[in-house]
Amino acid sequence: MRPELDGRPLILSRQVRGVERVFACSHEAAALGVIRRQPIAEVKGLAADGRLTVLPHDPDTDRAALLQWAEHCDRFSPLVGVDDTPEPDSLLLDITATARLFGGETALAGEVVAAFARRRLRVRAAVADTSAGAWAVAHFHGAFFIQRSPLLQIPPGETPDALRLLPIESLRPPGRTLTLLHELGVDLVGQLALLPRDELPSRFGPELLRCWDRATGVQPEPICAVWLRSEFTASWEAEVPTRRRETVHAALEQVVEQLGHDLRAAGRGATRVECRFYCLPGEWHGDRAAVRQGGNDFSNKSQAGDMAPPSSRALVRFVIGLFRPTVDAKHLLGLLHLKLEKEQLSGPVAGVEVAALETGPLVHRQLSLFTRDTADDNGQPGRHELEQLIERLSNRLGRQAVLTVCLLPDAQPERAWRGESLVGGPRRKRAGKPFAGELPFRPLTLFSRPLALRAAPSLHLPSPEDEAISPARIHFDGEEHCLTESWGPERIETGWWRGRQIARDYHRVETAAGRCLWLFRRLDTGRWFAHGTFD
Amino acid sequence: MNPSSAKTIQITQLQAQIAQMESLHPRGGVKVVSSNCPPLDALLPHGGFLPGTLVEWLAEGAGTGAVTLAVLAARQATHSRRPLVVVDRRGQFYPPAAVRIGLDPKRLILVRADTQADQFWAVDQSLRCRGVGAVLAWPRRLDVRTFRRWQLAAEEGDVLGLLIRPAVARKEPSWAEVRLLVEPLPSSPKGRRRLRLHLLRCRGLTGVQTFDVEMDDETHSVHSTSQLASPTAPGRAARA
Repeated sequence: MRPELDGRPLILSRQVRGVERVFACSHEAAALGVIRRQPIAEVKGLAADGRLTVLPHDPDTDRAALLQWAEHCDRFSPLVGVDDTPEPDSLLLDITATARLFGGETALAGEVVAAFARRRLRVRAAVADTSAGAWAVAHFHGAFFIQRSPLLQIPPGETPDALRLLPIESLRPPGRTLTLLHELGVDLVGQLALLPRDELPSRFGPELLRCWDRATGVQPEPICAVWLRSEFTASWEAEVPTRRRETVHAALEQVVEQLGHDLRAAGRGATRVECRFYCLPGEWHGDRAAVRQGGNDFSNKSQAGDMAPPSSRALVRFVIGLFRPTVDAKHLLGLLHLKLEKEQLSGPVAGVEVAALETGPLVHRQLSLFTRDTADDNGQPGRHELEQLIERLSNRLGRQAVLTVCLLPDAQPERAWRGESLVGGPRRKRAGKPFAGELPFRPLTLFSRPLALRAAPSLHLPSPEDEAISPARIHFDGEEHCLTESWGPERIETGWWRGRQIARDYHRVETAAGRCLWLFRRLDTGRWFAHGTFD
Repeated sequence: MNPSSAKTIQITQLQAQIAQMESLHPRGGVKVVSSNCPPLDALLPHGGFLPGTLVEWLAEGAGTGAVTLAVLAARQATHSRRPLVVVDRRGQFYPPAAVRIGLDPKRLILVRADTQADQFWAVDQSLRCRGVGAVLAWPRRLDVRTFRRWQLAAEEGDVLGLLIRPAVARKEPSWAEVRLLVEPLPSSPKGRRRLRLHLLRCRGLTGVQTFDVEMDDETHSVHSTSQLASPTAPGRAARA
């Protein structure tokens, strides 16, 4: 994601009880002696200044990255999920059926590790009977830390034994239960096995036993798949490739209805739908389909698919996003048609495929109407229209262009908020609380890049010593302005660990014409910039 | 009775009739959106802006305070739980400042449109949507047909459209119900922002009303400082 940081010591920091501590670090940083949970202040002295980069840990970014990697893993398993916790750090693959295609579980895990290594990522891969068991092994098993092996396969049926020597944290029980267990001297999973099983729920709450049973396979644990392509797709193949628009539209209608039917039967609604048109000339590469159905030559094909994407001329694909999970074929068709109008099909259409890339539990209209009515005292109309508006805007302008605003507790004005897409994808779990502090006075217009100011030639730039003085005349917006009033400075500095340190003195100034501007002076160079206008 | 006074009476009568026709638009039980600017509300025939209409804020250059006034009105429009859609073409709208003015971030939808065509389309679609409370946009150039379409769209969706436009637009015809020109003034000795507002156009009012307001940056309240001897059109004013 950040190639410039490759090969450099990098630390992710996080506040724990008021102290900024190391949350994770790169191998380069570890080589310098950085260890987890160390206070950031201590780390400072370990490297020459500027060498060490410290970024704040952001679980949302982690989740987004994991979702991307999950996409790359779909050639190993039809069911790939991201750890379903507020702070995910793992990918879960169901390899029950696919291992034999790679020549066994160890071989498959080896390929997974190698695939990530090719992308310069080090991973730990664990194979176990259950996903919770594999998670526990991957996070806590000594083989990874003592022998430094990248992968470990627990033979079938031996997962409960393998868990015995792992710390109790590996089961991920709730925090309070964990404290209680430690107080009682129960530190390993094996010790838990010695306690009378029936009494566990009454002593430690029902969750502990559930965690344990999931890890050992007594209770099933679902993997929340991010890539449900294999589950919800519908396709149509032309007997004779056609150029007739009506036929293509009818085919699209047919597959969308099929998709809607499948989704409804599963109680899921689509939040992102991909539509593909396979056009002649060019082969019909069912690249993803091949992975699913390819049988024995599966691995060859998937690798070929890795290197050469199917000719873009032959395949026309686009994705639509939805505000709320839906199975409504008519609604989906409407959105797909909007997109299709803008696409150019290259030749006769040989096949149409639609796939629900992301789905969410289906909320029945009845229920949503009911909750709406209780939430809105005046029975406000238009909620449904608003959702449709958001979908239309997002699908034409792109999902990155229709945003809800999330305020962040960051002093740097550019980073004090973030826009989040309103459609597509599961609702993100927020790890942090929304920012609710006192907001500082800020301009309504903030330039995406501060504009460097050229002070009027008759004036000399204030020397770095005169910190409070701002220039009396500025060129801005093609005009010269005479400044009559100035408030400030407001000093904004970001931590040295941000990589590029920000140190600015902001001034709110008023021109002779009564306009209000927001200027700042960089403390390092003494240069002036305009950053916004109080519109 | 001399002829000139008869003429005056006739003109007065006609003016009264026009005023009646213009102001008594059949809008029974309609909710009025306060501009959150009491001196302006006092001048507007309904005591505020009407949902389903367009309001134009004209300002020369940047940093005038026009957008703050528009956001204050939008804040009021979102009280019906319907959100404000900000169609931002330049990517410079800074939401934290709007939240500080009192806008609920949950009722703010930010739309980024790269081209003029996308911007026009997004504004049109948003105005047409009954689930939207208000739309804020910065159309620099606006042809009469688009303007008329937006006005009809706003009426259909019952949405308040807030348009920030350059001052030169006052020469162009308008489909806005209310057209305001905002001029910044040097701030008060206490450091409060002062603005001079010209109510250039408003259904039911003739002539240009000019008044000064003072804005408190802490509380975001606006109050009148003087009611100038109106209705005298400022020299440059040419009614659209």
